[in-house]
Amino acid sequence: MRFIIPLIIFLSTVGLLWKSLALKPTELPSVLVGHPAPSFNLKTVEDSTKNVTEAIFKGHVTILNVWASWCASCKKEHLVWMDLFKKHNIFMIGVNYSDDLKEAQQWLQKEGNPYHITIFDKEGRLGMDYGVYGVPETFILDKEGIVRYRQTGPINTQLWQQLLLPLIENLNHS
Amino acid sequence: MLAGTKQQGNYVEDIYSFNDPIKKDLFNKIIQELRCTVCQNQSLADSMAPLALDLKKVIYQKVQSQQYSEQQIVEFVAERYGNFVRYDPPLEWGTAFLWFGPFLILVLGMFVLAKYIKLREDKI
Repeated sequence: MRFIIPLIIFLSTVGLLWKSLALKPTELPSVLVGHPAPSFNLKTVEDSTKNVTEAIFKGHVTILNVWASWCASCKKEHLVWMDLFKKHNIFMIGVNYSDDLKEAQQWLQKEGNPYHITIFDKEGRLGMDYGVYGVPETFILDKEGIVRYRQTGPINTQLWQQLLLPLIENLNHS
Repeated sequence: MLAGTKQQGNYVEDIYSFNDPIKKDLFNKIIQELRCTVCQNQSLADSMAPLALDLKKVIYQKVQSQQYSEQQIVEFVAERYGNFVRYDPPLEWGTAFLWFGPFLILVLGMFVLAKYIKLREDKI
């Protein structure tokens, strides 16, 4: 009987520490999920005479992918996106974050372009409004332009199969 | 999971110069009470991460313009990056344990102590 209380304390400490092993401190909850995508008015990488706003998200489920040519893991992730783009009918918008226009254009030419358009966010202000703190980041927006999901860091095929694809199909049918 | 951080950026801290000491104090206060999301154990003031520099630039402009209060500027950042960036987070469901946890432990401890004393008294 006298061991019960120390045992409970010991076990709950072990439990707490064990659970925290699996926590990822770099994965922060997004403030944006459930809210409309913040507005912007920026040029695109493809055409510096045309402006694009958040109106582009309306009417289809959008995959908003934030990338930069200086980001090594974006390159790896890009292979996955190219593959998914060929297999599925997805609507992707790119955000080129804090980058050089020429390098961004070359990057798309060399690595392939799955994006409907790529927003050129040279100053990183769109990134700031969207709470971007480490590229690549991916947002999924519903047909009304409301943010439904946010992913920090690169995606992979497993995540796509288990989470992203079901979510997109679900949003497409609602 | 943090995959990439910006490489370019201005590393000269002197760009945040003020002609008004009140503004300077306000700026320093704000950047010390906000956490950098890239290097989470540093405040914005300490961090040289490019995102922290971008944020400091925006905060600097807001302080200089004199159109925003301290609270408004802190909220501007927290709205985007979450209350996690505040070193002084507001009381809400997710943070309630921070406020009431110590009292809970105190009550629990007193309960255990009372039991223990009673047990000993019974023996005597």
